[in-house]
Amino acid sequence: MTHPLTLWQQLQHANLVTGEMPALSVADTTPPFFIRMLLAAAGWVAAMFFCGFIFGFFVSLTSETNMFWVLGIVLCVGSIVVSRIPTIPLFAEQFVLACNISGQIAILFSLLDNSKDPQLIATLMLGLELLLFILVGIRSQRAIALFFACTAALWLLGPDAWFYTLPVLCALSGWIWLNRLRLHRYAHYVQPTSVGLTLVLWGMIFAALLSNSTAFLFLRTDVVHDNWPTQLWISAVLSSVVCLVLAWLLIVRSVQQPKLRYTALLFSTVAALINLKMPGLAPLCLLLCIGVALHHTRLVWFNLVLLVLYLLLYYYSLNNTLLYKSLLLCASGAVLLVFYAMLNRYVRPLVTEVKTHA
Amino acid sequence: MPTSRQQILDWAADGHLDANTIEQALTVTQSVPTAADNLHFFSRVVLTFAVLLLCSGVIFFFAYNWDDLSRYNKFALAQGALIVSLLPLLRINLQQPAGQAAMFGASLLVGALLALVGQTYQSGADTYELFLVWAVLITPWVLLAAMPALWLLLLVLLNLSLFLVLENLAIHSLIEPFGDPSWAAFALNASSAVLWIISTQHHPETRALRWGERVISLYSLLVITFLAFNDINSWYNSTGLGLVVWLVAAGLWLYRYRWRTLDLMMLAALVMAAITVTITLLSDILHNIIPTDGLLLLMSMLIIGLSSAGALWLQQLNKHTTAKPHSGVAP
Repeated sequence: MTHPLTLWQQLQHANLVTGEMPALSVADTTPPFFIRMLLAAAGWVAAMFFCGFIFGFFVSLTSETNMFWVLGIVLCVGSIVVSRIPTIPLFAEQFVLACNISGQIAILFSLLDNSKDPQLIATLMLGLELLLFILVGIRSQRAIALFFACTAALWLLGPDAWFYTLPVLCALSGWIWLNRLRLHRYAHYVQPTSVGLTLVLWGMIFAALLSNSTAFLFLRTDVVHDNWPTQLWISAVLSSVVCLVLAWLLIVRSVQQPKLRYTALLFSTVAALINLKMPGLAPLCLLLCIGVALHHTRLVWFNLVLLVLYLLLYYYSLNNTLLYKSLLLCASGAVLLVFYAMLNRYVRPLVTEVKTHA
Repeated sequence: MPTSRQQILDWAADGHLDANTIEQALTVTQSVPTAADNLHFFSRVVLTFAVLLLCSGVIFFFAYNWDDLSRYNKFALAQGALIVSLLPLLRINLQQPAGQAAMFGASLLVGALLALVGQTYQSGADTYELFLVWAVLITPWVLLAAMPALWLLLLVLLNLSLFLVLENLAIHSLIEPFGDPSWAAFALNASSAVLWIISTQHHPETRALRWGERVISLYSLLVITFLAFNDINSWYNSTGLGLVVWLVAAGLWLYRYRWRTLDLMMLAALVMAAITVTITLLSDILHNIIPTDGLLLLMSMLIIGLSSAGALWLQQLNKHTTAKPHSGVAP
């Protein structure tokens, strides 16, 4: 880690900044990922307990359970107000998360209790989540709000539209990740958006895989129609095209050597073709490559783990016979081996060059 | 102090640096890995997935149980695949990524071959035997290759064998006071973690070694926390040994990851486990004393308080770590 002053001087030498180094922020920086994970997990568990308390307390005060929405709105508004305090203590941040989740559960419970119209409930929840996304002052909660907003939107659109959300989500999340650094000035909204959309995309990929697998036949209820394979195929074609376009943008931006560019494009095309028979594979590969290009370690490792998980679940996919899947996997493995050999041709000279400079 | 990358991003967010030049700024200040590093990492990923896909393809093929193919042809194919996977080792040594990938692939294919044996000669043997024999057969390779991924594969196979032994032989209770079968899983994984730590302490620290230790230790912590949880929930029928061993394990954990080597991720896991055990214990003690509503509020506030305190402690440790010069970890 370099001292900020040295960093600033390096940037000055490169003519990227001018003038004196700005005063460093005294506020604590964002905690490391595992601490945020600890806080998030504890926050959710606390929210469940708090929700139980709120419901129990409210019921003991009044028997009007259909008025839960009032309580929910109070909790959500309270959490928004507290979350916008500039230097919010960690304890309060956790409490805001618990209040926010409890408030959302109370509103949802009340809506389900009072209305028989699922479209209306989905619309109201979508509106609520979008409001929370805009108004809440904590990034992680914005990401959660966007995730729930997308879930509400999917509920509103209905099962027929679910297939087409895969390419749409792929396009949106891929584009935002690609432009995350350029849009860094709006990081307060861009970062939660990229995280929320990626979570929904992962969810959709695995929902599609699970609902079409022998291991989870119980999920195949009213979602599955006679034209399921056709719709799945159309969705796969669209997501392949989207991934290929985004991959090209990534290649143009990140790969300098012309020969390596063509190799990368060839590999992307093969991945897009395999995606036709393994829907969801190309978006995972694309996000992995974006993660490598952006040096975003978590995006890389999450996608690697999900790719392995995808492979394990693919065994149960009903799309093709095991023989067909076996041949597809062997062919893909062989293509990757060839690609590895080609990559090695570029890696060796680069590593030697770096060692020489060192 | 934030990392160099974060500092640059902060300047860009505050408008001191043009957002369109962030990538250039990161490169100029060497705040991100070089193109060579990226390509090197990417080629490793590609190789790993190539091996995984090829081995999965072979396993899927035999799972298909193709009737048109005679048993001799099937065996010829399975053994052929195994031999082909070992062929690169004639030219490449085990230190190179391709050699390691070949050895890992071969170890997976041994399982495919054994599954084919089980499929062809259905002797009525228990399923645990497949995983146990698989583990035994690849042990010499594991010892020879000294590869973290292979050690983890061996441990997964041993865990699977243990789980299936307990299930197949309908063992619902072991020798008291270690009656719960989960004690066997804890013993296996905790001893593996200790062995891992002892055998790697003189090796240069690599990411693979560090993550291998983390995975085994975290699984052991999960099992012992589950045992402590069970002990608390059946307080009047239990010996309380789960809780005692959990405390001992927590002490050793602190010694290892706080005093010997500072690993904040592992400490965060311990904080989470401690919160779980504390909350379970308190709710068990207080549920007859405090009304449910009050207990739920108390638990909620306790979780928030404990996790915030834990996070503050970890953040302080993190600040101390980043303030000191960082010792690099070999890739």
